[in-house]
Amino acid sequence: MAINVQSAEAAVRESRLGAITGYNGTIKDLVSRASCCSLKNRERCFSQASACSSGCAQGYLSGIEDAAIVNHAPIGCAADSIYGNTANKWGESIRGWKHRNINFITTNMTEEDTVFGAVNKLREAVREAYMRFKPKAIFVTTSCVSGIIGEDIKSVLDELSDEIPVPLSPVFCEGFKSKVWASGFDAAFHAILTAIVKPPEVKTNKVNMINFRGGAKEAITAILARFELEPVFVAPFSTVEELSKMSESAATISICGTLGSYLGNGLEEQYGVPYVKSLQPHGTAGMDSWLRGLGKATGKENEVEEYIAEEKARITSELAVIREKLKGYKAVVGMGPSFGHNYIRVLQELGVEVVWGATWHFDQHYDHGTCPESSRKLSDSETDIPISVCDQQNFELLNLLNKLKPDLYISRHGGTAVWATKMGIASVMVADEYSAFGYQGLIDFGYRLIDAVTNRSLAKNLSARVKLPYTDWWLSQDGFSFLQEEVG
Amino acid sequence: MNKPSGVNAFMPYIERPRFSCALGGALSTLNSLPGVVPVIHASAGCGGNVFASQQAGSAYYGAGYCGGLAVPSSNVSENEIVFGGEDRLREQIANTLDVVEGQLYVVITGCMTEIIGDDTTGIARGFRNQGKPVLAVDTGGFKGNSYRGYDLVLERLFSEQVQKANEKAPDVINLWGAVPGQDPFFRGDLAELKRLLGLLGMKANTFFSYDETLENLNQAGSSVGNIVISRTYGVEAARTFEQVHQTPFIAVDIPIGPAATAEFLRKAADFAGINASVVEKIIADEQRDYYRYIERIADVYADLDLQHYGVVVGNASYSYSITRFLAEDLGWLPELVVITDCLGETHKEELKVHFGEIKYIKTPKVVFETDSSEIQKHLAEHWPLFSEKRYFHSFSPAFVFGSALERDLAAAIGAKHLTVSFPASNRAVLNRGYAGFKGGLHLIEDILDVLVAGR
Repeated sequence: MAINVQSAEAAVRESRLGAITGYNGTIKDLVSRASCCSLKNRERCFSQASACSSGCAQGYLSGIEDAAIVNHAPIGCAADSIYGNTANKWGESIRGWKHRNINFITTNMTEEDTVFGAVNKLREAVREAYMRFKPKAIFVTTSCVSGIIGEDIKSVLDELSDEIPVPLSPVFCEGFKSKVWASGFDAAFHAILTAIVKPPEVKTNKVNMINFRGGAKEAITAILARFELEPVFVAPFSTVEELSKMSESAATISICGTLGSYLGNGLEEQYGVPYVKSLQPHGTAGMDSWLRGLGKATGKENEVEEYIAEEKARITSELAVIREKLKGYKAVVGMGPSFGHNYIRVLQELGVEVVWGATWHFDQHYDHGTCPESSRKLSDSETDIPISVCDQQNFELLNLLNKLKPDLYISRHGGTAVWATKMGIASVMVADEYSAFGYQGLIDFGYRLIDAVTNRSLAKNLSARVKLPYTDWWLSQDGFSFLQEEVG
Repeated sequence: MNKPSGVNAFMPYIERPRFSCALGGALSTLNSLPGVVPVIHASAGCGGNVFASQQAGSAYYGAGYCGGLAVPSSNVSENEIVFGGEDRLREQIANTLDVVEGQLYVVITGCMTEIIGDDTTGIARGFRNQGKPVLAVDTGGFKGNSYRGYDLVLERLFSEQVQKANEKAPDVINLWGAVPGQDPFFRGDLAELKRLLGLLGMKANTFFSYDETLENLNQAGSSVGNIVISRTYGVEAARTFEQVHQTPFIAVDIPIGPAATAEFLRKAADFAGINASVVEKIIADEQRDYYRYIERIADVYADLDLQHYGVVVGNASYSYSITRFLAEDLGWLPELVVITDCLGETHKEELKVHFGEIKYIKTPKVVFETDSSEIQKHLAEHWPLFSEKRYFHSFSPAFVFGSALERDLAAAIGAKHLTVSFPASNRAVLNRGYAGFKGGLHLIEDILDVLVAGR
């Protein structure tokens, strides 16, 4: 399905990418069924709190330096901005910037508003956001409430565009519309693509680097400089002006396949900016594939090969030492689908045996039409790996961990790692998207894992004294017994 | 009836809110009660998102027994929005009873399931009639903020979970009003006040302390009285308690430091019918210990000339008590108080009058403002921050007591800063509290930590 910039909103991942949130099987089965599009979702008759599109969309957009968010929602949806502010602070410290609070206003929808509507409050809030923050763009994020009562946000913004001289863009990210919260990233990128990105005036040597906080900013700038390329870190910590020129770049690359699909393919379809469709740059195989894809897109194949050979030679002996130290350790991975399937490979490169991989959803194909590269790569390898798809479902994960008793639990989302710790399992949370980035990153990550298994006293002490909330009955059940039959 | 908390209909918009919604407050309240398992009837994101904001906002409060991503949640989506979510909720509750161990399960709702009109209370009653410990509270986020959620949950627990008692126990008292997940210091504060009431010979149920079980709540009907340590939060719940169990209550300020705590103990003793000489002896002992520590720290205070002007930003309960501590115990000059809650007009007036009763200082300017970027304007209106005049009495040295959001303000006016209110993302709080005598010492420690950090 092509990306439709004429449409007001991005289609959700279930319909656009055949995304599912319930599955239990193996990587080979998952990929072979995805490749012939015969995978159907399995719902749950017991579930636990997770995340939603609105949180993803607002969290992501609020990082743009000179934009403002107006959230048309009851107060709780905007409380996200508290976490958004702390995440923002982290990115600021990476850059050595002075701290500023994110620009965020909520329309504070109340019970009355659900009956009479609140477009007047929205109008006032957008005006106020413009006055207070002097932003270069305003994104209006929707909510379950604004969606259910059918608020005509687009008309309000069309009217206001006469008096407010910056792009005003709706972001349709109602939580109930998709069980795949990554749909919220697509909603955010749809707004950026349709309201911010301008047609190219010149072609540049810039590379759109789609990411989150940009922890490896310096390293990437140095690597790309060798290829006479210059990264633009998209979208948090960039400016509206920088984003508007993404159409002029030589290529788009992404730290995460899930995150990058919509914008990368959108820029390619609309403006001919090639999107690098590779493994993600975690570990050696990932970095090889990512850099080669970039080299091909920008005509720098030889320079890339030189760099790869140099770096690999540099880490060979160190990697062997780490692999020796991590030999025999078993890990379970629980992450989003792109990170999950990429990190399983990273752990294997480090000599760790991955006994289970759980991902929060699975896209049967990306916007460029093929099954995710990282999933195909895993399924092509000799050994098959048990895989499940569970939207952060804690009861399934803990049931699994209790049976598998791995040495390590590798996670990527806040609130997941602590449960492994409570079970006495050393956990490593990949909060920085550039952990295990490339060759040096692989070595650093290897040492991180060695440290984690070296002293597990906190996990051991805690697990001896903490009561988990699950009944003995549940922990003795098959962990997937609440998954229903596939539905079409 | 005057509804002091959570009535926010008249706030057309709020910048970077300092609270979550009614569902968020209900969730952190239930997650702090021993043996209680919340069941959310809402979209998948509600539980995760309000937890993320409380986690960052309330000084890393954590998931606890069954919070965070472990909270059972029906995760309704488009299908339920169109066809109704009652079947899904029944299924979710039935399976929760099998999967999650708890003594009481409380269903709380989000906006979407209330708009579509699911009969959550009826479904919970169905389970209760079969002998299952299930309750439900309508906590749709649009009903108000976290503070409202706290009251809504307590009201339901007091009317349906607390057992009717035929006889009152003269030495048992209930105490609440510090809001879990909103008041970063609620555990430490409750523990100190419980300790002090214990010195008076009272057994205090706070419901949330680690040394209590659900039985403390179940048996709370036998208490002789209720003390609410807020004039704003938990007061609605106290009225409900009074109606159902005929238990009288007093709503007092959360006491911080020796002056306020002495007054608190006198009021509590009077309320519980305890002899004045008993209470005076305890106050004298506690104050003696308190001032032994102060005597030692007074050296550096005097040498560094540490008297400051103060700006206090926070919720209605804490900002009053911090201000009073600064004025009556520390000898500082609080000039501006910003109360960041959404409150009714009558209640705002009551609070303003109350600030006028603080001794030793000219009454500070009290404003009601939810939005951080507006606070500097209020300060500038009260005390000109810049001037062309040759002689200019600047607002310095100044100290801002607020949330992590006030780092901007403090930097802009060249003031020192300590986080004492939500969101408290730059602090980690375990058992620290500012209430009572011990809390006063903690607060002085934290203030001086900031002032001597550069030495």
